[in-house]
Amino acid sequence: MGYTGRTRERVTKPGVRRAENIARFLIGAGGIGTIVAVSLIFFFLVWVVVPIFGGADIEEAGRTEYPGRAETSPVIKTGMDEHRLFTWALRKNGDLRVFRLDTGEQIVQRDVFENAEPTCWTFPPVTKTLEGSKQEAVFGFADGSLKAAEFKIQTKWLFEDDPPEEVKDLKIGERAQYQQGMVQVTPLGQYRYEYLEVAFKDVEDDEDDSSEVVLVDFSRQSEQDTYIGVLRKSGALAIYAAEETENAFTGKITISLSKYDLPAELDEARGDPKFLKMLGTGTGVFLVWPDGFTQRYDARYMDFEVKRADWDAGVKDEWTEYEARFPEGRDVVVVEIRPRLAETFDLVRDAEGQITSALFLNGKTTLLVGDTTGDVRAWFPAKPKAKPGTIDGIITVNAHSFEGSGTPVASLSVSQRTRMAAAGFANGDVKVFQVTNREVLAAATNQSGDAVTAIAISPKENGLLALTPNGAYQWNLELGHPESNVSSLFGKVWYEGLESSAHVWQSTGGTDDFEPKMGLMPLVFGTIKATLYSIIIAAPLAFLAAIFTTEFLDPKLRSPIKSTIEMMASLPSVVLGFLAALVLAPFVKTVLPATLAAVFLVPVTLIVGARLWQMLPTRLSIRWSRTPRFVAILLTFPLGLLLAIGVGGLMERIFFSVDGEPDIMAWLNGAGPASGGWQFLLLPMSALIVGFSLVRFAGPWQREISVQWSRKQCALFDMGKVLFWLAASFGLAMLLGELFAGMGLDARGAVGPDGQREGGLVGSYIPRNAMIVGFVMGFAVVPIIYTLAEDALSSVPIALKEGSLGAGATPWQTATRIVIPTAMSGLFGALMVGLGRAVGETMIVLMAAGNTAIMDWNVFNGFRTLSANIATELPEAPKDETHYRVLFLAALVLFAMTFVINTMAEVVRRIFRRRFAEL
Amino acid sequence: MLMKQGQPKGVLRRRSSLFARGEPMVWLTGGSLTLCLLMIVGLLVLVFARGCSTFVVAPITQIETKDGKVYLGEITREDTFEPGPEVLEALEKEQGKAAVDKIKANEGQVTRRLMRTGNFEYSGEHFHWVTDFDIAKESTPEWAVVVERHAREEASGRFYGEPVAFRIDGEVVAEGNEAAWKKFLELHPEILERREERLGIEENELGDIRDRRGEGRLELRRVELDHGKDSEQYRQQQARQTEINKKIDEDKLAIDEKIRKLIEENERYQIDFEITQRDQPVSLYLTDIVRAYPANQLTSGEKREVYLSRWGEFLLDEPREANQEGGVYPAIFGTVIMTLIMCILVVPFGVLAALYLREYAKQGTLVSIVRIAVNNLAGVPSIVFGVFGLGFFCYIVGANIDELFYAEKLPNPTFGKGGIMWASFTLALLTLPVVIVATEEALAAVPNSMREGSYACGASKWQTIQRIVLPRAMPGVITGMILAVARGAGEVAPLMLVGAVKLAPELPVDGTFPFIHGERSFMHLGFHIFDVGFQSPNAEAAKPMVFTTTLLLIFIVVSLNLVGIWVRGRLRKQFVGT
Repeated sequence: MGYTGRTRERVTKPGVRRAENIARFLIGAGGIGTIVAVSLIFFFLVWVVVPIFGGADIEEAGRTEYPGRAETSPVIKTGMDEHRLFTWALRKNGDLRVFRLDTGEQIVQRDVFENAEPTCWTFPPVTKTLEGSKQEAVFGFADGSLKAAEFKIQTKWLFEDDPPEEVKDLKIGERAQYQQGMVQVTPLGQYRYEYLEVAFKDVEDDEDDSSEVVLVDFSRQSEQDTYIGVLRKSGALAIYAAEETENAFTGKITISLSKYDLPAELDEARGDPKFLKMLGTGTGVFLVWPDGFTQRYDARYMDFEVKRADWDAGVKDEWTEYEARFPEGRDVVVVEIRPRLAETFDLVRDAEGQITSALFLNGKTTLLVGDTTGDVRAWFPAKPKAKPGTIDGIITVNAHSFEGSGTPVASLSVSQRTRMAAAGFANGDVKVFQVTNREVLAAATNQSGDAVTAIAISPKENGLLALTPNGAYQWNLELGHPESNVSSLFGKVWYEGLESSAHVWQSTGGTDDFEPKMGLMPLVFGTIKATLYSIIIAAPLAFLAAIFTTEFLDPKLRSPIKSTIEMMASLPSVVLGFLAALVLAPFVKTVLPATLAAVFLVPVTLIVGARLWQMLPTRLSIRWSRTPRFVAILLTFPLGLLLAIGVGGLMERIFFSVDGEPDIMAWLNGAGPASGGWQFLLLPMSALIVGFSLVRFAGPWQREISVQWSRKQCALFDMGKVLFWLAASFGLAMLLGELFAGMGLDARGAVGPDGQREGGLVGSYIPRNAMIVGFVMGFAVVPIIYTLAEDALSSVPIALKEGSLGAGATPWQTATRIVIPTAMSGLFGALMVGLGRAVGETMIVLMAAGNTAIMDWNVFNGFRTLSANIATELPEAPKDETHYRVLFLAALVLFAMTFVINTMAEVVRRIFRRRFAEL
Repeated sequence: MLMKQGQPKGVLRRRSSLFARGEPMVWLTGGSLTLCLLMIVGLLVLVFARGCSTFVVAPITQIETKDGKVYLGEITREDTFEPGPEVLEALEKEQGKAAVDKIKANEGQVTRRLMRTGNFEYSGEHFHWVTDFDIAKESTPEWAVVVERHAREEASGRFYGEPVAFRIDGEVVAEGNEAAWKKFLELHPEILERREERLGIEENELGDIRDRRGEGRLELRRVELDHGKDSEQYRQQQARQTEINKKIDEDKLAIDEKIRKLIEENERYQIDFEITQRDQPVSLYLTDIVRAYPANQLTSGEKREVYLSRWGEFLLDEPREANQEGGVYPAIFGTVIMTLIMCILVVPFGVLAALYLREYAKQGTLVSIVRIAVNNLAGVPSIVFGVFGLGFFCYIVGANIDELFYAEKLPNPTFGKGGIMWASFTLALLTLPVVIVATEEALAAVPNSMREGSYACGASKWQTIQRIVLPRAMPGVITGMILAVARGAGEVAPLMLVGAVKLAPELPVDGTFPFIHGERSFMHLGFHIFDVGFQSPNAEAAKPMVFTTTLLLIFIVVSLNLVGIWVRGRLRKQFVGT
């Protein structure tokens, strides 16, 4: 740098300099900060969502020697407390021991059966009560008696001010043995005392059956409603309704039974069954033999009434297997459902396998069985749509299988919270399964290689305990969010009670042991359905309106009309949703045929109007080509609507007659012939086909012959053409409709196995449906597309237009061949932005879409979108639980969908801009 | 004009083929525009008509049906339906063939009317459908009175009846329609005043008592957290607290006494009504009556008065009857305050970001990517912002604030839940792209020559921005702000997640320190529409109110937009002028 001239004479004032620096800093920091904050949204969503996909971790937590491990009597149940302080193990001989989990030191030893050894026992899934949870149990004995028990882990808070000697010196988090259990100091400094309480209840059987109890099961359906299932040596199978009574003086609880016999069909040759399992719903009982042969009994004992007329009309056929009574003097039929054998099947894959353990998952619906081949399989009853041939229409399906390695399953255990289970194998392996997702979450082995005789998952699912003759092994589990993974979120999952895998969203249920079903596909489908139907309505409307505004409208009217439509964009969507749901939906339901007719008749009226307009003398038609023409269109439009209202009834009669009576609702529900619907649906299409063929094939001919014609003659010819077009379209639609119906197709979908039509484009009418949403959301999207499209069209350089018009092209030719192609990318961008808005719209779908998460293209059915789902469920979802994170994932999916669409729009817009720069 | 060359015969007359004019297509495009205009006009007309007619004084009709029952009430709407064959059969049995023939002559259609009959505690319904063929007699009784009242136990909703007696302390002091009514008109205003006075006391003085109690409790807990329960400070504080509580109890007794007196005085006055659901007249406490008028004998001036008074109540009072009656003042207030806070947040940050992007950042690929991202963000669904607001502001930022400053209130969250501040923050984020884009465009529109001129005169960059660029870009900034406000005011979905509630007990801004309570939940007009329209137990009664609220919301949003357009126009003109 050399000397360039005069030196600087003036100095920048320090104040200015300071202001400059401050401004630079503030704007830099503020600007960058704002942009970072905005991008934070995306990263935050990802940050919340990512843990869903994290795998499970299992970590060895050591081995302890535990008391009584050398005993030969097998452990029949083990469990632990919520905080993994102690565990308890009950052996068949009645030896119950409670010991510390960390050291193995014994806390309690008891003989609970007083020298009588039970022949069978049952430990149903843990039930949750108001005070906490309890493990219930029933034992059967050789003398035919039964005993019920409750293993409850009780929690008490010791006085902070004056703690007992044994625990006084404990620091936060430390634990010590105290009386019958353990004390731990909580982070708040409280002394939490936990201990196992075992309470036995006598069971009194009126009949006093002394035949040996071979198998027993227990099912609690509610606080009062409990059932005990019993199989005796005599071959008698019975279910007892159990009623608890408390002795007012002693406080002892006695259970008295009332019996329902089940007609057991036992085969001597098979020997005794090994397991008796009653479904939690009380509707079924499984008897499982060691080789896997299984009988399912329909355990329902009930009567129900059917109207005589309905019975004769067809209900009869559904209940041929059951007894029916015809009470005198009443116009009903009573169907008697009595317990009976419903089906038999085999639980084991090949002949050699022997069942080693069987128990219900939480919820008492899915039966989990382990066998000697090492397989763990899950079975549950499902009601298929097609009649399966069993008397109650239910079959038991093997929904999930975890193939084994050949080592027998030695023990199984289930989680108290979710559909998770753990298996211990004969070679010392342990595995943790998420059954619904068919996922093996964790696997480990104990070093000794001893068979796992008993296994337990901790109540909080954070620990696993395996008892072997050699010692107790512990693992720490960190499962993350086992209920959801990529395949369960986006793929089909076989949920309880379904006949096959399906996409289902049902995140919460009425009960604690509800199986959450979190498949996002129905919601994604709903979002796409809403977007599609609304864009089908909005895009043509907005584009055509924009073309008219820029090309044919009086320039003076353009600005007020444009701002009126822009005002539409500022209408809050909650207003549109409210009007859609409470005004439009009930209204359209009453005038459905007219509404459908309007879709076709309004354009036809306009076309006829246009042909009539052509008949005007040339001079007038030129003078009136601006505002008067628009006024004429404005007036013709309501005419079309009036026509539709008038014709609606007629149209219903022609197309949607059921047994000769016009009844569109019944038709949509599946009655009446298929042809009418096809004809109606194909009408617009055949009109397009005929119209296009006329232009394509008759056009050149018309041009040729009409060279010498006067304008009037041409117009008359065109009028005739319209009539021909209408007649031909009708004819073609009729023909095609009959053809399609003749081919066995139906717009309402094919008849499913259960006799209901499904999967059609139209179907049963729900007042809050996709058509209503499409219309109203279209209303919300129209102004956006319109504004952008209008901008794109009007920014086509005027020179291009003038050139075209100057060369003799008509305004219409100029519009279609010059203006629209030039503005194409702008129009595409407008469409994309409209799509983006429709994808994320919340209030309209929340209010007007019925919110049922079903996958169904039916225009007249409801749906549930991602956005509406988030709005309804997120306020109730507890922070950081799986449900909460899945809803965040839904938000992320929405974000991604709109991001892709908007980026496409932006890129196209940039191309568009460059192109104009060139022009 | 399409002519083949060398066509031998005829005179060539230049005229464009009709075919090329595409008249039908032009009409279709015009039809689309017509439909768009029809929709918007139809919507506005519908909302305007229904919204304005909510408060109109309707005549009271008395209908006697053929089974001897009498219904008194307002007719709210009418529709036609097609009775099934069973209904017709039953009708023929009861009323003979003529009635059925009449229906058949009308193509099987029957008209029925929905009457608002009120008197819920006696009839178990608010509305009743009356079918035309059931009507025996119809009249408009002169002394039928509409009563809007506050809920008291079972009694809620509208009340319709004829006044027959007025009682003070249970003694009849006036008998007969006119006398009782005159007495009512004479005494009702002062009773209302007393009621207002009582409510004022309850809100202010009892509120104070509550606040003092709460503060004491929190102070004690704070001391406990700081020093532990065993400490000397805790014991001292406890003693102090007992002292204070004693004083509070005394004050409360005095206030209770005052309130009791007011209530007692008010409950002396009762008016008896004859109603159609019961043979005996029933009495209403005057203090429960919000407004009553004999609808059938009002002059048009009086009708207008009732109409305006209802509008006044709507705009200035709190809701009652589960939001179905009364006003929406808290919702208007909540909407305005939330939008204001949002505006204060969004405008500076939006302008800063735009300034940075346009004036300071080095133009290149990075900046255009950022620009695309910001543009994109404008298209991100509002519910996603709501999700972010709940997860980040409420559950993370809010929960941390609670732990630091409001530990004594835990586990009850203070900022760790939805509130007006978080709602404003969320909406500010939502509207930020709008402001950035608008400001950027405005900045870009300032000609470079002006900047260069400024630099050439020796101005620094900031001086140039401050004095040349920003003022020129002001219309754009204001436009952006107005657009943001209009969007923010109408947005509901994210608010459902971050703090809008159906009924907020306290306004987010009030007279107690620190005056602006950012942690409080608030009511919002848009959410109010959703809530009353969809989650109200008595949907039929709620619907008119929803229309009125909708009208109000549209009015606010549209006028904000219009103001924006107007301001933009003015500023533009100003700059053109200079």
